[in-house]
Amino acid sequence: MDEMTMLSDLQPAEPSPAELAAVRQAVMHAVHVPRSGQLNRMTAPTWIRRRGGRLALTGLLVAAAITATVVALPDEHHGHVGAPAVPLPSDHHSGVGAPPVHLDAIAVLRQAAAAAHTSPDVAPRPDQFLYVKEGSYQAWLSMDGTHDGAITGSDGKLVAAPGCRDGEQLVPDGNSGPRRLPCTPDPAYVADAPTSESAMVAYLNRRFGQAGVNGIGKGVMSLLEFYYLRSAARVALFNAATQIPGLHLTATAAGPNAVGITWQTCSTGKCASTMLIFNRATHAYLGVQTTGINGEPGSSGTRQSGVVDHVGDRP
Amino acid sequence: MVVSSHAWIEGDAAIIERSVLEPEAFGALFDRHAARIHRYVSGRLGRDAADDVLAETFIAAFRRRGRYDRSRPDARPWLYGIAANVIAQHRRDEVRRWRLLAALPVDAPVSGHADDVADRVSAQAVRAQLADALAGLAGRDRDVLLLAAWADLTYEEIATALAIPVGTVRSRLFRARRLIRESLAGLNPDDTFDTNLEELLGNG
Repeated sequence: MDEMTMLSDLQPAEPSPAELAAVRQAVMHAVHVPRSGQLNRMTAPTWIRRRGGRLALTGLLVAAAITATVVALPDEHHGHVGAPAVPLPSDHHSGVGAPPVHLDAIAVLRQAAAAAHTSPDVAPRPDQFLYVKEGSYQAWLSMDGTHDGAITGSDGKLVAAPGCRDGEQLVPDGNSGPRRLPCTPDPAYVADAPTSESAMVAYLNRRFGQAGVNGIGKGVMSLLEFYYLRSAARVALFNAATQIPGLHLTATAAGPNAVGITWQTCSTGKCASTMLIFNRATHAYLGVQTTGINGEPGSSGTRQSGVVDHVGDRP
Repeated sequence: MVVSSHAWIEGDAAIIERSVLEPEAFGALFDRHAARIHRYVSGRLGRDAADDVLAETFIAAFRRRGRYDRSRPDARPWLYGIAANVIAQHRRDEVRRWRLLAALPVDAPVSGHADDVADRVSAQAVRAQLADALAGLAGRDRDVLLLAAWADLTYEEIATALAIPVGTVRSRLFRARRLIRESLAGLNPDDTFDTNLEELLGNG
C-alpha cells in the first residue's frame, strides 16, 4: 500500500445533505445580506450548533468576519480579494493592492456580456467599413485596413484615412502632394480577438498595456470605440472589463435609461476618467465618455455604428 | 433539500453566471460541491471546524462570483482554492490536530484473533505516524499533497486552485511524498518504497 492510499484512508466520510442543512441555510442567508454586512438581528438565524450543543459563530459574526478580514484568495488574474470599501483612484492596473470594486458594476458588465451573446453576429467582408458616429465625429474605418476610409478631422471636416497596401500608405501632404510612407495595416475588424475572458485579459494587456498603465481599461475602450468584434469576442471583452480596477456604477448624462461604468487611470497624481454607457434595460453598449487628466472632456455621448459597403454609407 | 432539475443540466460556470443576477441560484453550487469540500476540510481541521470553514468558503466564493472565469466549466479547483486559503488561516489548529492524532494511544485490543489485533494495531501505528508526518510538512506542501490525495484534482487543477505553476505542484508533491515515505519507512525497516521519480509523478 503506498502513502497516497494510506492518506485516502485518513479522510472522513462525506456529510449527508441533512448534516449540511444548517450550513446551507447560513450561507444562503449571508448571500442576501446587504453589502454593509449588517444583519437584521431579528431575522438572523441562530447559526450552527457544534457537537455538544454549544453555539458556533452567529451569522452576524460570519458576515462581519467576511467583510472585515481580507482573505488572500487564489485568483488567476490578481491574487487579491475585494472587500467592501469606497472606490479610490488607482495608479496602477495591477490587481495587487488595487481598490475593490462594486459588485453592481460587475453585474452590469456581465449583463452586457449576456446581451452581446444574442446580438447580431456578422462576419464583415474585407472591403467593407466600420461606420462610427459619436456626436459630430464620424469615421469609416477599413475592415481589413487596406482600403481607404475617412474620419472627421480636427476642423470637423472629413479627411481621408488611407489604407495600408503592400506595406505603404499614401498620405496626403498639402505642401508637396501625397507621400508614400511605410505602414502596417490596422484592420477595424479584429478577426483574431480572443473569445474567453482570461485570453482577452492577456490580449488587452499585451496589445494596449504599458508599464504603469491600465492595459485592460485602455484596451476595452479602444476596441469598443474603433474596432469591430464578433459576438463571442464582445462577450469576452465585457467579461474581461470586470477585471478593471476601481470600477463603479454611476449615473450618466445620457439619461435615466442609461447607466455608466466608470474607472479612473491616474498618473503623477492626475486622473483621467472613462465611462462605458449601457442601456439600463437591454444592457446594450451605447458609447463611452472620457475626461482627460486636466478635466477636459474627451469623447462623449452615445455611439452609432454598423457595417457598411462604402465610405459615405450609413447603417 | 430541493435540487432543481435545471441545476443538473447547467455546468458550474452557468450556475455562477446566473447567480450574478439571481443570488439564490448560488445554492445549486453549494448543493453540488459542499459535501466534498466539507469532507476535505473536515479531514484537515476536524468536523467541528469544518462547518464554519465550509460556510466561509462558500460565502467568499459568492462574493467573488462576478470574477469567476466562465471558460472553466468545473468550479471545483476554484472552490478548493478558496477553502485552502481559509484553512491556511487555521494553520496552527491544523498542525495541532495532526500532532494530537499522532499522539493518541493505540487502542488496547478487547478481543479478536491475534492476526486481526495485530493488523489493527499496525494500522493505527501507521495512521499515527502518517499524522505526525503530515504535521511536519510545510503548509504549502501539505496543501498540494492533500488536494492530490483527497480532492482528486489533476496537477493542472491543483495549480489553478493554488495559483501556482504546474511544475511547482509536481515538485511540492514529490517532496511531500518523499518525506511521508521516509517517515513511514521507520515503522518497518524492511519495507521498501519505490522511489522512482517518474512513477511518483506519473501516479500523482
